[in-house]
Amino acid sequence: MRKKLNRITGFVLLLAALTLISAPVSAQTYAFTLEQEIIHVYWESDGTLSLTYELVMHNSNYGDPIDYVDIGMPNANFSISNATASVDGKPINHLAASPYVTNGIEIGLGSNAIQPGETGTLQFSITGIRDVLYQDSDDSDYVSAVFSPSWIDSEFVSGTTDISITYHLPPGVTPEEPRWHTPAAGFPETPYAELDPEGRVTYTWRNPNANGYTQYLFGASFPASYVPATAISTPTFWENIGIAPDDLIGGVCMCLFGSMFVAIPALSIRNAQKRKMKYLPPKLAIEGHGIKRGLTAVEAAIVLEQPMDKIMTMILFSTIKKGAARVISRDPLTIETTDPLPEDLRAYEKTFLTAMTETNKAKQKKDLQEAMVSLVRSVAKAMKGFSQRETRNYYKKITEAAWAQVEETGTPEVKSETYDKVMEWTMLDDDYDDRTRRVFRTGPVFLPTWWHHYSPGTMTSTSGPSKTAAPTMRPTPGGTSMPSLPGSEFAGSIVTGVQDFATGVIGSVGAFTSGVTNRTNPIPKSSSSGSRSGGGFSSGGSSCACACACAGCACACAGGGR
Amino acid sequence: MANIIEFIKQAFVPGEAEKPLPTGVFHYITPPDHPRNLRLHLRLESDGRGLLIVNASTVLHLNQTAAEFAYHIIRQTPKEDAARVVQKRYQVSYTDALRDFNQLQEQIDALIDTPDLDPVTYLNIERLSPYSDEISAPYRLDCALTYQVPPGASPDVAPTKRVDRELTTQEWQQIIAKAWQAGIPHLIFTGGEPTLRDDLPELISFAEEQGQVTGLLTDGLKLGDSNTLQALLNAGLDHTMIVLHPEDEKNWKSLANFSYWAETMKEDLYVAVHLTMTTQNKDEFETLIHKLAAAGISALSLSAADPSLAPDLEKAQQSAYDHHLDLVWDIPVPYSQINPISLELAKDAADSTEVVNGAGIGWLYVEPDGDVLPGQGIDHVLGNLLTDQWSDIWKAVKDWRR
Repeated sequence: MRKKLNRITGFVLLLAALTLISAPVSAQTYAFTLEQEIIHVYWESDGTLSLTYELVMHNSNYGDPIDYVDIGMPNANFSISNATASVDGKPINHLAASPYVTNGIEIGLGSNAIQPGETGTLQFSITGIRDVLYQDSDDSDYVSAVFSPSWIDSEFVSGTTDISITYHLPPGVTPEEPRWHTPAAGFPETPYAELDPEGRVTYTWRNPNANGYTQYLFGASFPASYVPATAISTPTFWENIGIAPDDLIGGVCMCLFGSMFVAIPALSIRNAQKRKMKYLPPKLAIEGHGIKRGLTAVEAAIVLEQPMDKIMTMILFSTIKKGAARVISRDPLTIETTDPLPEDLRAYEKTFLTAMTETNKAKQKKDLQEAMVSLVRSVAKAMKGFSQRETRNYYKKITEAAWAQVEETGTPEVKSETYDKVMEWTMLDDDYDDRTRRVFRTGPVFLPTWWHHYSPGTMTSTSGPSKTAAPTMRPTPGGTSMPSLPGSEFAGSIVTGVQDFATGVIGSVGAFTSGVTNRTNPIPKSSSSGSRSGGGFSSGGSSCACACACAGCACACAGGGR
Repeated sequence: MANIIEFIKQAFVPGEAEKPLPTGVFHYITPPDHPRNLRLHLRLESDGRGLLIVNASTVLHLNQTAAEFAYHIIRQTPKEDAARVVQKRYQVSYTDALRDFNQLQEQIDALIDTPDLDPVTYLNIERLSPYSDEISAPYRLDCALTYQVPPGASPDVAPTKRVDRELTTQEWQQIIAKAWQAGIPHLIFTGGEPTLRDDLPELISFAEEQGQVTGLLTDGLKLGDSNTLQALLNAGLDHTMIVLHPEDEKNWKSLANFSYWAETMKEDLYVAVHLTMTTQNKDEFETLIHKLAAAGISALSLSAADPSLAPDLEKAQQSAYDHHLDLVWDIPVPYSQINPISLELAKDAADSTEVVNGAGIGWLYVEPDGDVLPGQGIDHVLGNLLTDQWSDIWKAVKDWRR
């Protein structure tokens, strides 16, 4: 598998046009030694540069397979079609522009990746790199050729490396003409000089105790006459300010080479970058528990930010089902409570019933708001320390499971019975009204025993003030008769219950909700420190994007104040 | 010219790599006239990560970058300077560093200003199960200064272990200092009855001067004495939990009318109450909680003397919520392990991977002679904080948890 962020980046620097290279940004998953690195640098008669690399890499037992290697080029003036690569003699087909190294080439080893514990030899060559020579600032008849071989991020490579680099000077250059530059520390000051099989003068520097993660510089100058004048770049402004290379690297360098100075700023940046730590965006994690289980459907509705009218209708259903109340009139919605009240009522059910029995409509509305404020606050307390997101997902799944139970049952009797059990959970569905209509579109619905407390008159007569249709008595498979309604009528009655509540009791849902959320989730007060630009603490105003963006904040956002 | 040449030479010198900030505990407290009442503790770990504790309660785990920003927030570094420093130390642009600094500051502000805001949903903060991350020291140290209890008090109110001696003031100060050096930002003084130690204000003051948050677990009787209360407040006490024993006539009578509670709560002190449910008092809890809420208490701790009381404890928990009281737990109160949240989580454990046990990582318990236990009532000595090195004790803690 390709590991985009964990690849090895080998860098080739040619000082004629140094590339600024970004290091890999990921955790250290490669671990290997670079046992040997052999480089041949061919300074061609047309002024171009050809390179060959031979890298012997031993992967550690615990490292990831070495599957990609990126090698940087000195500038953009090369063609990937001039490059070839192989691993242990097996050709590599994947050569592409490196996404990680500016002016680099990506070598994808594919099935020839060097596995943990194994050793492999990567060979790479390229020809035709242009614009790599600079006029020698000390001798205008000479050109300067400076080169830094590949190095690898020290996060990935360890141990010593036997590095050998051979300069092949252009054909025709005689042994007494070229001059070498003082090499990097650790390499012999005087290179080994000889003629290669083509008769070209070569300089070879070798250090068997070098390493793969240090940048080493090598250089030579030779008469400009051996390459076309058009292949030679002009001196840079650094030369004009008279900085001598001896000051730079010491030694017996015989000439100035302007290309070096072009490289310095970039090198400086690169070294600084190398010293810096890798940056990952700041990340916070908070300690807390996951799902808050055990909430009632009404409390879950608060967490799920269901509309207020729906939540209060849910409470109405729950109190009716518990035998604590019955509806006297649907329009206007009027209820009466039983005396004494059942013991298993929740606090929010009690305050709701108290509010609903208030005859003064304005006070009733205010009391209902108070009841909702109290409910929201108690849910917020219960949610403290638990994840809202995970809790929401949990109750959404419960809602879906409730619907599934209803939808999967076969006979109207069982479907009605199942719905009676899970009805309050189905109401948490954002689409509960349409879904209720869909599910009960066909067939009769056998009414639950509490139904006549919700829909007065339905059990006694077929006429009267009820807005709902009158039920008929249908025989059940057990031989008894139970009241039933056509499914569509039943669904309509459930759904219109919410609308009744909105229009008949609380009026504008939006205004009613604002009256609640203004108290449960007031806008934080700002403080004098709010405009401070330092690393202190501002106060308020910036955190809560929406009035309903709190754990225990029910509002009409989702439902648009239906 | 020499400077230029030196610059050029330096260009070829790899230089020393940047390293994470050194380990340590850093503390910020809002000035007295600041509208916020805020204390932050940042503990930088050796690997560069950080632990930011807001008001000794909200625990945030920070990656290395966030820890570095939090360090500058606590040091009140101007944000532009902070971004510049981070830009120099990390491979990031100034613009990105400044943007991230601002974003982190906003996240922390939001956590503080809107505590009900779900940080995962709205602040892009990850959730971590409590006590699940590797840390270098607990968040809190419970210091049982004495196992003495007031005359006539039920022996049940004191831990059963008796110690040979109590540490002196100086010895406790050594322990407190050692805890601070280890990075423990929060101390709770408990007992026995810690107010029986005359040096309690001195110890609180010592801890506060270092930067630690201090709390007190007490039967509350002595807080009725205004001199004692003022001494504790002047020392810097941050919060107190009054362990109420309704069945103890003396204790209850003195507190039953709650009049002095109101006095106590006028002060700049966070007051919570603990109630232990027993078979004898379980039926009174609804009334008790109602009275406590009416008295102005904002937080409640509940535990049960017997696991069979779990259903009643659950009802008491719901009653606390209905009275809009914060529930606190994991405090070294009697029967602390049988608290509503622990029971709730244990009940859910069958379909959850989350197992919460903070003893030994969230807190440690120090007995009056300096012996360290993982938590109150866990009779496993991990060392002595007066005589042993912190590193040895922490190693013993980790071994014990394994």
